[in-house]
Amino acid sequence: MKTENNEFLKILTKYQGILHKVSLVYFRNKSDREDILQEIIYQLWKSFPKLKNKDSIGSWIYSVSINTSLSRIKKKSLVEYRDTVPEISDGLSDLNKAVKDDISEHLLNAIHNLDDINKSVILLYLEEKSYDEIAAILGVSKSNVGVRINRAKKILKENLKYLNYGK
Amino acid sequence: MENNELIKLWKTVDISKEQKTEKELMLLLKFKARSILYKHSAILIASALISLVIITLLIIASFKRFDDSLFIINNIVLGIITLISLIFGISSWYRLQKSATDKPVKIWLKEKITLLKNSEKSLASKLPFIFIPFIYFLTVLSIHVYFENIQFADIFKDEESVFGLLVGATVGLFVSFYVFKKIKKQVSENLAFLEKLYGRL
Repeated sequence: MKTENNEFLKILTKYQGILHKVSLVYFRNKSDREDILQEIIYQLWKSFPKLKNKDSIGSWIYSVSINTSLSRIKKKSLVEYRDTVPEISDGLSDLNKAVKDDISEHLLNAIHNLDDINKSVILLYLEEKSYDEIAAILGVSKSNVGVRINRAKKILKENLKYLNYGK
Repeated sequence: MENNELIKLWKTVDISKEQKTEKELMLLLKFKARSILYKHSAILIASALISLVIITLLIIASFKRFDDSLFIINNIVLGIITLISLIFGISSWYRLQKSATDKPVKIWLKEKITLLKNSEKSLASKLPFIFIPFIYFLTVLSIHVYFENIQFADIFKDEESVFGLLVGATVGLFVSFYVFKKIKKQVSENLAFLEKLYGRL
């Protein structure tokens, strides 16, 4: 049990970037991100003993992180489907601490204005995951991945234009 | 904007400040695991205590009115329903908590949707609608008979008692139906949210 816990912690330390990035695209507020980080760690720890394929640890971490985030959004009713892009809110001051410059802040704003599924699609695309990996994480067919990415990218670019970046 | 530019932009997002050491991660895990354990224990202990108090009171009342067989039958039925509700409530709560997230997003969403749909359709989800007003009515009867110090069979002979019971039972029924309607609405909203997400994949 102790060896398993140590192994889990080593993996978690190595792959924690995934957790931070998923929480960053789903939650604007720092305290929400800290809460979800704890919840994801707990969910990962719970399902770690059942993890059979240790070659696809990254995909497993992405799936658990995205599912836990979606679950939290549902619980907290943070879901917002928007037809138009809202102005940058004051709530982004927390986010400013996590991102270093205006450019990445603009990109994060544009991602936050995507719907919850496109947030995952675009995150996996920006993380340069292969179509196979994206298909495995999202549970969709490989042929579907390209369509989803193109759609999400198109909306992201429109959002960026609206925010006066990337004309 | 070129696609590569998006990826380059993404690489400027700095998460280094959020990185944690192995020790910090361990502390976060311990804290979360402990808080979940406390929450589970609190729910378990509170439900068990409430049920225990109800059953003890029913037993005491029954012993004090040992001559009234209808009153004793009423209390036994109440006690059994309380026990069944306790076991059923705890087991379904644990079943919901066990839901695993280590699956591809679409499969996980499908499982959640099926779980909610099944629980909506199942007899178990409809039972509280029958049980709660029933428990409420039997409890009101039991309390009324005990404190008015009358025989259970006499209750329906007294006009005042019947009127009080009817008013009490009607109010109780409305409150319980209102609460369950609210719960059902919340479940439907959750289901609609998950189906919307699933439809987008």
